[in-house]
Amino acid sequence: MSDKQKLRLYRILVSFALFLLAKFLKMDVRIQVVIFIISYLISGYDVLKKAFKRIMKFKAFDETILMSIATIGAFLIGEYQEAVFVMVFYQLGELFQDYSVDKSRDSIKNLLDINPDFANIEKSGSIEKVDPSVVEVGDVVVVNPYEKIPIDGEIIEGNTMLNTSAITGESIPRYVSVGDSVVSGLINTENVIKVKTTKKYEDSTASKIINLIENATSKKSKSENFISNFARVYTPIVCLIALLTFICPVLFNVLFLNNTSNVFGHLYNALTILVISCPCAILISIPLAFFSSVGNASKNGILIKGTNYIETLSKIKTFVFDKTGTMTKGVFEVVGIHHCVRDEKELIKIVAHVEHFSNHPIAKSIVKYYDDQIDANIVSDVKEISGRGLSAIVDGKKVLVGNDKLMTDNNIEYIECKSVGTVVHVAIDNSYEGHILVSDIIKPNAAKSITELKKLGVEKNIMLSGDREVIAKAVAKELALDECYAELLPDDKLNKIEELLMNSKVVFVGDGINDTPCISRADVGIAMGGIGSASVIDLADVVIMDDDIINVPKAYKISKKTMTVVYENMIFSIGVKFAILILSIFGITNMWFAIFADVGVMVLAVLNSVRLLYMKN
Amino acid sequence: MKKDYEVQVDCVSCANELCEEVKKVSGVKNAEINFMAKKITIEFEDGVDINEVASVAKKAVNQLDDEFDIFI
Repeated sequence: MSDKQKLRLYRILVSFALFLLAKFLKMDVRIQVVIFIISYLISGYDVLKKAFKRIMKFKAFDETILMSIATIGAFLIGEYQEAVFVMVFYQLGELFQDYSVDKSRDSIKNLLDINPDFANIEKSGSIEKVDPSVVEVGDVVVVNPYEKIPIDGEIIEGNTMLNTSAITGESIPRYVSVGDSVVSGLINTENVIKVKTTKKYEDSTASKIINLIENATSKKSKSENFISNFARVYTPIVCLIALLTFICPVLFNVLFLNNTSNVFGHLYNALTILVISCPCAILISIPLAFFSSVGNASKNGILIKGTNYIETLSKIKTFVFDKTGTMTKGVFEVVGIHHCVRDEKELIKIVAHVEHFSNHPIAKSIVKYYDDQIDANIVSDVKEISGRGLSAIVDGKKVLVGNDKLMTDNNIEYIECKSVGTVVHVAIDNSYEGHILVSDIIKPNAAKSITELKKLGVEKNIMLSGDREVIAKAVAKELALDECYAELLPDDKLNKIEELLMNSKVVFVGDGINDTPCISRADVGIAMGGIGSASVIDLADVVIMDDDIINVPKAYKISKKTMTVVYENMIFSIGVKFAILILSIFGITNMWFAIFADVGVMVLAVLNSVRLLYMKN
Repeated sequence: MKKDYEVQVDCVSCANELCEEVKKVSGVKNAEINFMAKKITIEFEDGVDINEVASVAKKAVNQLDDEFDIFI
């Protein structure tokens, strides 16, 4: 608790103590009144001061003014105890609210404490400890065990195990060595490594994540907008009702019944209504709920970039997944070489030399299988043909490497592969040389993720793939998907999304780099593997920092739980206020109950929201 | 040209009030307040002296309520 808050607490306690004293001890009525007034002033002087200032400046009626009117009014009609109790309890509520918000902010701050405070720059042989923001791109930093990697870069020396939990929420350490990309925020656990930076500090992953989380609560969801608008009209309307509650019956009595009985009674009812005229409960609990969720999600390595996405995501029942890299590891393995002219070794050598120039996972798997030195000098004129494959000149020979469409385009008769897998056909100097069978492994949690999504209410799980129908269908069957579309070019995938969007809102889950248009177009675009690519973080609406697809149902669950809390708070808060309003109009309730219920509802709503910070998934 | 500033407010409706007051300052095109993150994003009109406009906004906010502040 801050000093200011502590002071407030003492004031409340002293005030309440005096109140109890005056209420229960036998004493002269006049002394009792004086003690009540003192107690009231101790807990309420700042409220009165603020209210007075506002009135002097002709500002709109806010809670300070209304509380002041309600309590002073209560004093004037002789309800001293009520006036004091209302003020004390109101202040207690305000303190609780203040404290909860601060605590939540602290929690999130701790979660976001992923940025390192220093970097060890290596310059001309010596190591200097500096502020990370002065490190330039291309500098070499030394990261010792137990230190955080200060800036995104590539390892140029050493190997070690990294703790990625601060970024991915994943507790299993990751092995890295020379050539691997690493990002800021990861903690080195074993050996010293040297990293050559590829970014500046403020553009590095940890900084980006912090920025994103902080800004996530800027984008307002529909619920938050509703609450703002509601709050704006609520207070004036309630004040009006309070006024009418006093004026109408009194006027009626005076005009028609010709008496002024029970004026104080009706005034009391009006003042009671003023007590519940502040919609603080909803105003604070809803943003708090979203804020807590965003924080909790980041703990799990899920970056939600806007609270509006939480809302939208929770309502969507159609999930579209990219296949390669999302449902499958995207790490292909060569499982067979079906050569028909030259021998296996030579064929693989030629193909590897061509594939060396491509970043496609299939290309990489072939190069990996070849496992030998690539002599780039013997390769020239490399062309990547979208949706088809590659062509190049290797050792003077014209080589075509790609799918069956590439073969038909060049009028080369190819041989189908009987096994299920991705087939890379090879043609050298326009003559068919055979094919290489490459297989992609389904991610371990893929099937479980789909099951989880179905349990959570997703109606359609759809997969899009550029791969062959046979393979796509096999994957779809294994994962129990509802629909599957294969052999799609990048444009086709986008068209499919457009088609689906005509019927319902859609979530698209992809691996970022290749799925840009689909991720942008979908109502909620989820990108996986954010830790591998800083551009992915900029792109999607939700970024899952690691590659584990189980985080997709996790994110969905978080969004649903959040909206449940939001609606619970809305209905509960508005409902209770409405009930008290009705009761007050008819004089069935009193000020004690009104303030108690008002503050009580607020406390419960806030607690309901805060528990989102701790939910386990 | 947008810039973020840390703010000091103690309740949600106050935050909205602060935001409305900042929007009225000449040179400010738009402003968005984020109560939970305790910051305001001010979008300045083209060609204005950002620091000057920010100072004016700070003063306006201080006058609104002596508990309110924008940290420049």
